Amino acid sequence: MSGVTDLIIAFLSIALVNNLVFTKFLGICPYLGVSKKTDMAVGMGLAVTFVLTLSAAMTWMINNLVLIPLDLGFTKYIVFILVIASMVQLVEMYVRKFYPGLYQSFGIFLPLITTNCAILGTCLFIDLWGYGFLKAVVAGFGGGLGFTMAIALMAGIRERLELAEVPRPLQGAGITLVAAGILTLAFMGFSGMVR
Amino acid sequence: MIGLFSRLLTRSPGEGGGATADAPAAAGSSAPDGASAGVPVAARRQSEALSYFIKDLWEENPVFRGLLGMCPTLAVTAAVKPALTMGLAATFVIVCSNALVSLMRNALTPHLRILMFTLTISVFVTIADLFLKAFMPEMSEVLGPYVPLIIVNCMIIARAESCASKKGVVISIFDGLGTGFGFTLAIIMLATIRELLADGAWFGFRILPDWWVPWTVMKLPAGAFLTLGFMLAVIIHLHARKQAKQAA
Amino acid sequence: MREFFKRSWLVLVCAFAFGLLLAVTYASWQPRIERNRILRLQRGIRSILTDADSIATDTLTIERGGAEMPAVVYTGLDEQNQPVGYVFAAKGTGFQDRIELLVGLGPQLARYRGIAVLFAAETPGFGDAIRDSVIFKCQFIGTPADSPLNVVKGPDKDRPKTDDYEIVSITGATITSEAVTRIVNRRNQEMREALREHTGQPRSTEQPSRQAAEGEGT
Repeated sequence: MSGVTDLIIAFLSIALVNNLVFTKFLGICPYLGVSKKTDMAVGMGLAVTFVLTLSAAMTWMINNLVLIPLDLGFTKYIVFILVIASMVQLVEMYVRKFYPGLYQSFGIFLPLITTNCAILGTCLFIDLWGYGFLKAVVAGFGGGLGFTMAIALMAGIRERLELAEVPRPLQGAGITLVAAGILTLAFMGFSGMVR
Repeated sequence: MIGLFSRLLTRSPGEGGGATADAPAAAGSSAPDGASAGVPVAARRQSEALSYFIKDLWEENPVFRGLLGMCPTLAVTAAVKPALTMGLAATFVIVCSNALVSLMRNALTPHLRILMFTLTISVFVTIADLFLKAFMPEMSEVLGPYVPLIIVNCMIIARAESCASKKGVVISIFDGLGTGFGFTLAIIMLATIRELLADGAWFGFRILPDWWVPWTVMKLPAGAFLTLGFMLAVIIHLHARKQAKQAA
Repeated sequence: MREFFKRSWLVLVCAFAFGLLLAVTYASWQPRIERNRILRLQRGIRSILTDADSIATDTLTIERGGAEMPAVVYTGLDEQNQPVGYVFAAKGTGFQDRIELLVGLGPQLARYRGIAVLFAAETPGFGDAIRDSVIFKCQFIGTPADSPLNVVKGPDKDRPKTDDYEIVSITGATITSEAVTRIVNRRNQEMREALREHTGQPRSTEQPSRQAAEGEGT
């Protein structure tokens, strides 16, 4: 298998087949919280994609070039979460300073991202799958896009649901979860696509 | 983050906002003031700690009422055994981190607060993960990366923020126990439904008769979402009925 | 500088204390974790080489995509220190997640000794059956290993299974069954040459026949 196909497969695999939200249950909190308006959801998703790509690269480098050679693998979780937190801070400062327009559109989501399990989870899964560096970055990017797609889809559904008559107890989180369940069934169609 | 916490603090709208912070105070003041003055401080603190415990366990259940910690709730509830392990691991982490955060609450500066919470939590998560790997290797494999993901479980960081960084050690520990057991209870309920429908079994033992056709979908991610969605509906319905009764 | 310490002494102290705590925990539990890993591997190997008395570990060099890389092979030895079979690890992508297998070959490298699943997170109730479906796993026992195996869907009524190279897939888990077979085929391909050199098996004995296989069938 040549390098490029490998990368494309890693990308599709994490964006569709192993979609973070639908098969790995990562990033459910913002998924339930922010997915009320489509543009908000897309903004959040893009912020996640941005940070996730960077953190995937950073954590891969730190893990493989520092932690594993020094046999410090057991401090992985702490290091990962610190890297992600500082990554978020850096990105926030940078974007605020140099791209005020961009900051206006998705800056408000950045502080929320540190506790988004999609980021840490993806970095951990990448480590678990034993990806190489390029593959890790591509997977980070693909995971972010998959997440964006999931919450954008969900937001679209929720906007319609606002107009629907939902039984009182199911309103809010209940119907969102049920809709997510049905979406998940649809996403199962992608399973087995990647070999 | 702020949004998350404000959401947390305003959950259960029926109880007049700020429920988490007010609840124990309300419970404490339900006794006549004169009487509570006579009660030794220790006893009062004990009752406050207990009221936190009970409150977190069910009424303010992190999963059903707070919608916190969703990712393990959905991911590890295909069977009861991993759910129980996960619940206990999370309880361990939340109790330890609550205790430690509470110990250093006076030294916390605002800009380092979240960093310290995360650091504390991740240390205990690492310990829990090593423990599972060393003593329950099969379980550790089933749970996989969902154990380290306890670090970003918003439930724990929310308790550190809204309780442990303000209250004493004993109360924080009880609060951690209550939240942890509440979480365990919730995910075991979910896992029970899923395992029964998917395997006709509970805790690995088959209990439904042979003619039961397993609903495999219950083991799949879709089953997790659907079950939790309908369970939330039931809980909200019960809650609303109780409130209506109280109002009447 | 002083300002810095005043602001962050807590972080520094905690970082140190936590580091120490973790190091101690890790140091005390690491041997157990390592032992668990080895036990799991050994259980897998023993489930394939049921008749092995002891297991030797060797590292061979195989070729993948023009590059040379190391590959570990476990040799099962009987009481007379004669090899009863070789086991190596194989991994690949299944229906949902990665699949890690152990593949066993007979002493003549002509037939499979069986497979064991080290890791699989396939669809519960369907693909997950590769873990415990004896019927599926048994198909790899005594199957000729000289050319790739094919997966067929269910035993055909009109055409009873005549081809030794056919693996009948698990109902409802065709893709997982194909993935397992593909992983086995690919890894076998990679390992064969190195194993042949390692064991000193000449090429000519590779023609598997019923008679030749008697020594290593189960």
